[in-house]
Amino acid sequence: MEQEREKVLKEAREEIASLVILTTTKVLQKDLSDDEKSRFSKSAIDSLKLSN
Amino acid sequence: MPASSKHKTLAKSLLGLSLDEHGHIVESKVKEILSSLKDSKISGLRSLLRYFYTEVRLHEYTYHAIAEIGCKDDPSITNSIIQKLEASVGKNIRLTITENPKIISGCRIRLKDDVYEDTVSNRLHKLEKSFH
Repeated sequence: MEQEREKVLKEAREEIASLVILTTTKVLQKDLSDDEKSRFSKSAIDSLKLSN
Repeated sequence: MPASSKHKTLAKSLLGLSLDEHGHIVESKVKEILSSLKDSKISGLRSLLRYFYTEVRLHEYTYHAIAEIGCKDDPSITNSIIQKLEASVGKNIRLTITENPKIISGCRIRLKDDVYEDTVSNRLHKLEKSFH
């Protein structure tokens, strides 16, 4: 019984997490301005560590 | 020497003739070589062309980077990527850069077998995986 409850809770957590990520993705795709995208992209490039 | 070895050696020489001062392949030089080969009576031309094609592909693979970015390209981004890559590999790099809205923001760079990535989509993907 307890195991079944844990399993259901775990599945629910994963489902909620996936929905949150999906929603976040859609919001960011829609709402980030060109300037914000550009700033993050430049910062990402600057901080990339390239191996030799 | 077997014909295949001769063709391999010749293909390497032809590759050498196809390069500019930075060691990059020059399309017009390749076309010129192909045109000359077409007119020649060389035996096993198909085999030679196959080796030459392989040499060109392998060589281009060593200096041609593909970058996807999550914003519109501008010269400062292109220059930053080229500078970082050249500092890392110690030679001139050719860069193809494209805007990919799917990564939301950030960049993904591929050079040879390496992929360097810091994108919003990848961060979200890692976050999602951490819940599982």
